[in-house]
Amino acid sequence: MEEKVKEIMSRVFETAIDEINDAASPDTIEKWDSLHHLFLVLALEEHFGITFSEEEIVEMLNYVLVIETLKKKGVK
Amino acid sequence: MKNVGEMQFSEVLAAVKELDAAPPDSAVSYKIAFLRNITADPIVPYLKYLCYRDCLKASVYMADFNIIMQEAVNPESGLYVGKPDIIVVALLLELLSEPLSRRFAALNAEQIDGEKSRVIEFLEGVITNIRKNSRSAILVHSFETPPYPAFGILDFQSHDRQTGVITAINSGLSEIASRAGNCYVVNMDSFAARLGSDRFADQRMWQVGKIPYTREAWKNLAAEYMKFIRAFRGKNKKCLVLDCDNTLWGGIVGEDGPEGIKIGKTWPGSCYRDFQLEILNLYHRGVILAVCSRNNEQDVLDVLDRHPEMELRREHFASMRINWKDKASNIIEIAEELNIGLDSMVFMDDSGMEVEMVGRLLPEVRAIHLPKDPSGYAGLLARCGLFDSLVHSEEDRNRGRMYRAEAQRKVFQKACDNVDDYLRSLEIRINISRADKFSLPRIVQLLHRTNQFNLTTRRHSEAVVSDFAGSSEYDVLSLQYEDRFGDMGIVGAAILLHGAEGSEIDSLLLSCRALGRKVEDLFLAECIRICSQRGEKHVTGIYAPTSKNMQVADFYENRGFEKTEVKDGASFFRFDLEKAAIAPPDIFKSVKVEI
Repeated sequence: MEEKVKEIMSRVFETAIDEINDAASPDTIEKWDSLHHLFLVLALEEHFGITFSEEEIVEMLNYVLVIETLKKKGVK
Repeated sequence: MKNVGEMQFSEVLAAVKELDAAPPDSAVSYKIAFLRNITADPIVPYLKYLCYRDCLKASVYMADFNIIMQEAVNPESGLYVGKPDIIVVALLLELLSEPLSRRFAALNAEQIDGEKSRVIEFLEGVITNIRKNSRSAILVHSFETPPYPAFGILDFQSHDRQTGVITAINSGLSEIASRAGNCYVVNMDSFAARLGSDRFADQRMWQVGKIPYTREAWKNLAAEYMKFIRAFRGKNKKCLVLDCDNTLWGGIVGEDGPEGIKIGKTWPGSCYRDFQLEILNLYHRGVILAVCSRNNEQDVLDVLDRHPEMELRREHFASMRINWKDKASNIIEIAEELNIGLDSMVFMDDSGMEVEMVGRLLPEVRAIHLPKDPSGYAGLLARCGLFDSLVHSEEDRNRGRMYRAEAQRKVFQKACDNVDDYLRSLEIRINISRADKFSLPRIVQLLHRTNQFNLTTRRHSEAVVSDFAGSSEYDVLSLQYEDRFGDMGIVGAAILLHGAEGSEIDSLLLSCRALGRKVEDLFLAECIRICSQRGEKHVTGIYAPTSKNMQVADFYENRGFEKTEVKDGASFFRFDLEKAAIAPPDIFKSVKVEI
C-alpha cells in the first residue's frame, strides 16, 4: 500500500518517487500546495475506492498522516 | 494512446506531463482559456489528455478565481493575450447570486425579478465584451437547476419558483449566446442528469476547495468539451458504416431468411428498430450511411427493399459493400467511392473480431464494438457524440438524397464517351452569389470540411467570415450546382480580398462531389472577372500545401498564373489582369452570377 501511495504522490506532485519518504510534507515538496493536496485526495479516493471526510482531507497534511489515515480506513 | 476511461487520475497527470515535455510532431497547438468562479483545475489534465488523443497540444489559461468582468472588458487582459481558440465561461449561480441560489424562499417577486435581471445583464456584459475583444469560440456553462430546490415538490409546479427562475435565466443565456455568434451553451442539467446528481456534485470538495464537481464529472465534462472542439475544427465524423446481421436486425439473414430475422415493434426486434431510428436521425442530420456486410448481396437487398418492418431502406445508404471480402478492404473502397477520408468514418459491428481487425488495419477509422445486449445499441450511438456538429444546413438535410443522385450520375457517365459531350449532357446550372445569412453557415461548413480541393485550407470561424461578408474589401462567394439529376446545393466557396492595386484569393474551394466537371475553371474565371471589373491590376493565388490537397498544387499555374515566390512553405502565383483573361468553359447550361 505504501508503495502505491508513493507512486501516486510522485505523479501528483511531479517529483521523483525517492523524494516521497516519511519526511515528505508541503514543507519539503514544492508542488504540495492546497490545490495539489486536493488532487492527491481525488487520486487516492479513486485508487483505493474510499471517501475521505472533510476533517480527514484537511488533517492528513503529510506523508505519515496520509498513511495513518488510510490504515484507519481499513486500506491494506 | 490509452483510452482515458482505462486510466486513473494520477496516470493521466503523469501521461500529460510526459506529452507536454515531448509532444508528437504532428500535434497542433490549441489554446483554451477559462473564466470561472469555481476551481476548475481538475479538468485540465483530462482535457489536455483528450486533446493529445485528437492530435492537439492544448495550453490552458486559467483566469484568477472570480475575476470575470475585469478580464472580459479589458482587451489587454491575460484572457486575450494568447489569442485563445476557445474561451470557457464556467460560472456557478452560487457566487453570482446568493439570494437566488441559497435564500430563494425568503425572496418576494420584486426581489426575484431584480436578481434575475442583474444576473442576465451580467452574463450579457461578459459575453458581449468577450465577443467584442476576440474571435475565440465561446463555451458557456448553463446554470444547474438544483436537484432539491428551495420549495421542494412545490417548486416544480409553477414557473416562478427557483427551478423556473433558473430555467428563465438559462433561456436568457441561450439568447445572449445566439446573438453573440460563435458562442455555445454547455447544458449542465443534461450533463448532471446523465451522471446522476450524487455522482456529479461533490459537496466536500466544494466546501473545502470550491471544486463543485466530482473527479468523474470533470472527466466526463472534458469529453463533453471535446465534442465542441471537434465540431469547431470540422473533425466531427461524417460517415457511419454499418454491419447488417445482428446489427441492423437480430439474426442472420443468410440462415434465418428475411421472415426469420428480428426487426419490428416487439422485442427483440424493437431494439434493432430503435437503433435504426437513431441511425435515421443521423441521416437527416447529414451523416452519410454505408453498409459493409458479409452476405450474398441479394439477401440483404431483399430485406432493405421489401421487409415491411425495416425503417432503413436502400435509398438511405450512399454506398454498399455486401460480399465475402474482408471488411477493411471494403471500407477502403467505400471511402474511395464516397471520396471521404478514412478518418471521417465510424464503423459499427456486433462482432468483436471484425471490429478489432478493422481497428488494427485501419487505425484512422473509429471502430466500435456494439454491446452484447441490443437494447443498448440506440443509446450507444446517441451517446458517442462523434457526429456532433454545430451546423445543420439545408445541405445536411439533403445530403443523403444527393448521394443517391450521384450514384445515378455515375451510371449515366458510363454511357457517354466524349468528356465535354458528357458534361454538356448533364445540363449543369451554376449559380454564383454573394454570401447572405442563409448561405453563410454552409460556406463556413465548407471552409472547415473541405480538405482536397482547397487551395489555402483557412478554417475561418463564422464570426470572421461574417465580418468579411460585411466588409467592402472582401467578396465572399458561394457556388451552387444543379444538373439534370438533382440539386447539389452549395458546393463551392471563395473569399477574395481586394487591395489598392491587386486582389488576393484568400480561399477557393470545391466539394469533391463537384469535381471533374470544369466547375473549378468556371469559378476561377468568374473570380478573376470580378477582380477585373473592380479595376484591379492583378490577382494573387496562394497554394498552402497540406497532406490532403496535393491535387491542387498546380492549379493556378495550369490556368495562366505565374509562380512568383515560395514563402513559409506556401506558393504564390500572380495573374496579370492587364495582359490576360480566363475564358470560362462553355459546357454549362446556364451560369448565373448574382453579385
